[in-house]
Amino acid sequence: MNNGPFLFLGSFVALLLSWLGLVVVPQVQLRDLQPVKNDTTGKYYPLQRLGLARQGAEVYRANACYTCHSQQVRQEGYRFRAVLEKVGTNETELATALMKLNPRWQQSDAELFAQAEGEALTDMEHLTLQQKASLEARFDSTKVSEYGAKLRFDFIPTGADIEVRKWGVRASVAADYLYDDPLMLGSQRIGPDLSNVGNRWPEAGWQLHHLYHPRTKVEGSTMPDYRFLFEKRRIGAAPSPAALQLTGDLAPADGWEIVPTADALALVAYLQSLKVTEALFEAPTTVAP
Amino acid sequence: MSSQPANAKSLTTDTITVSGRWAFLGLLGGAACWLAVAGVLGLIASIKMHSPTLLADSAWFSYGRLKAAAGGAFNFGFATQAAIAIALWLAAVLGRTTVKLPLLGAAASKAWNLGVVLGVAGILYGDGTGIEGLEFPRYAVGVLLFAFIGLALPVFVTFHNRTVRELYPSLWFVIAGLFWFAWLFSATSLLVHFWPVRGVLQAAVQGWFTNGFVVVWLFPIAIALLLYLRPALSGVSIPSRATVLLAFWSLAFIGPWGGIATGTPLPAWVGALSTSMSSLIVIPIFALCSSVGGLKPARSADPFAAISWKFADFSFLALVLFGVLTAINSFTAVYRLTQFTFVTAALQSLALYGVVLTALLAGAFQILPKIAPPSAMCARVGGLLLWVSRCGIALLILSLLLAGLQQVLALASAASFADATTASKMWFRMSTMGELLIALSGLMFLAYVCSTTFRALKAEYASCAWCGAGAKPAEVAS
Repeated sequence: MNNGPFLFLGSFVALLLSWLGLVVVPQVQLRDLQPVKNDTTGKYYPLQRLGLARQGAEVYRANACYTCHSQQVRQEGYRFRAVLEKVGTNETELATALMKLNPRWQQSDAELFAQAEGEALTDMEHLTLQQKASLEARFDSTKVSEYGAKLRFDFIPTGADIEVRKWGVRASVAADYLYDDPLMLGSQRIGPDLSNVGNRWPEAGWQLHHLYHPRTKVEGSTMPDYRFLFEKRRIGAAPSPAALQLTGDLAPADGWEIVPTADALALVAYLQSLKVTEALFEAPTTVAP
Repeated sequence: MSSQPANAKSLTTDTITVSGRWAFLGLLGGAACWLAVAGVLGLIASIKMHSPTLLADSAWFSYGRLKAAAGGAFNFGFATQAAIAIALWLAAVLGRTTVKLPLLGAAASKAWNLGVVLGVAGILYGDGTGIEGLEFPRYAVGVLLFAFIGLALPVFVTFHNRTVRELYPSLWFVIAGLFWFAWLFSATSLLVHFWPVRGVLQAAVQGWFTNGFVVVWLFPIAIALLLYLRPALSGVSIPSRATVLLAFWSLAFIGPWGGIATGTPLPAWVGALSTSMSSLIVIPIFALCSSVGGLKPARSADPFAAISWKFADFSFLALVLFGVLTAINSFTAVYRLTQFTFVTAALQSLALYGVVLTALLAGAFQILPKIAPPSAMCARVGGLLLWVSRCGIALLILSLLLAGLQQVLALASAASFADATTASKMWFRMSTMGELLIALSGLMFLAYVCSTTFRALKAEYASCAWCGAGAKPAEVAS
């Protein structure tokens, strides 16, 4: 290959394709993404962070906290449960209607379902989002409401991040980061995922002590101390109400106290603002009972 | 070959190298400084993994800032500068021409270093952008973009003035790599700093850049060097140009697609496509293997030939390992377990240290001894650097891989997350030893470049018209 222009043109096309595929097309696909309104609460999701939480995002960025903490919950699939919330009055008709759902069910099974209010009629795992509509339609086709009965459908996200580590209630999706700038998804989990930490650890006191000396709250933690976010100062006329209550080796000398700086308070406000529980069209969720 | 001018035939690799000595010394000197800085910053960060109270009172030395600064110093300070030095050298040597615009290259390297200083200091100060791999603040990136023009120009002008019209395969990779980097860096900088895209689209830009930076910028330069060095030090020509052609085009059309993980909160097809394409990276690597993989070094009295060969061998082995592990890691069943663990960090270190660092050092040990005649001590330092860096890199990659696998096993057995990380502490200590050896390699390389610069200056000074006669290096009129 001795043709310079051909080499240049080929190289240009090669990178152009990846540029279009990985950068331009997702931009076109997501450029109209808007906050969505929750019909029940009337609130929009997501909302922009304001005030202290917004300042805290800057502290999070400046200290590159994303090096150790991800902000993306992974999900492996869905579990579908159809729960008979109300049996109604016509149990025989209800049993007959439910029999249509599964040919393997015997008359005795259906009668048992008809008598068991609050029971799950089915519990299916390893499902995809695409199966949601067809499953719901199948159960709706029984028209059990005509007999005064009521079915509830649970579509529960599954996966170790959600079920074992309880880091979130559903997978993270593009809409969750609509106002994140910069986007700090993180690529490693030296520490736990923080996408929903505002719900998991809402107490500011816990967060502040954890930042000052993580091992006071999590035994064996490898997280470095962030003491530069705190100020050691002489106690004035009265101890500061914001001072950390430290014991043992960590306690300051008599007459001294450890108080969080504005950066520490902002960072904690940011952590408290990290909440992802809203069910979205592309990420439906029913919290597992 | 018949079109070669008569004076080009008199050019030897030594005279060509000497013609661009100030550009090479400027670029490799800056690269060596940043390798040492990156090594020291990486070492402190690594110690903090098992001694979390170390430097806890200093915001400048928080773990995240140190890691980001070390990454920036290595990628932009060391790897990019050294890669441009190698690209310039290959363009001149394979084009049988003297280095053009060497002083522009030397001056641009100073501007580039200023940009890296601003970037690293900016991150440590707390001005990092928050986007992994692209943390340099806007004021640093502006300087780097400007300086890059000055760095790339001598390579393109030298390439344009080549006297051998036939393009040796290394030059395909050099020219395409430089072009790809210019596009990657400028387009990404615009989308991060000047017209930022919103929300999760930043992840698409970041993934495209961080993967492309390694796979279509640093890897092509490393491959170009391997394609030149292995046959040159074996005393044979490239056994099969057809397979190298396959390697080039498959790398061009597959390489830039990686970098976006499955499960990233982008449309699902983006992650799926990107991960599938990552698995195909074995195609260019195996094509390369079948072309120059089986070569053996020719007997040589030159100790630097042996050092370069061993560095290149290590780099080649690491490249093959990287391809195989990346392909395995692309399977959903595997990736679901290894994502976010130290396995990812191990793969990154394998690419940056295992493949890129060793290849660039192999090239540096071909350039520097030709600029100023080395002493016996230089060869000993080179030999020691070879061993220390190879041990450090192997130790770091192995410990990160083991830490990652332990994390995977602990998480699979439903152990608490804190327990899974604590279980890997022993491997963190081992990785600190690796980081220490890499930092020592950086310092040794810096000492070697300083010594070469000193000897080159001494030779230049001795030959100065104002100061009397002296032994002028084998310079040629450009």
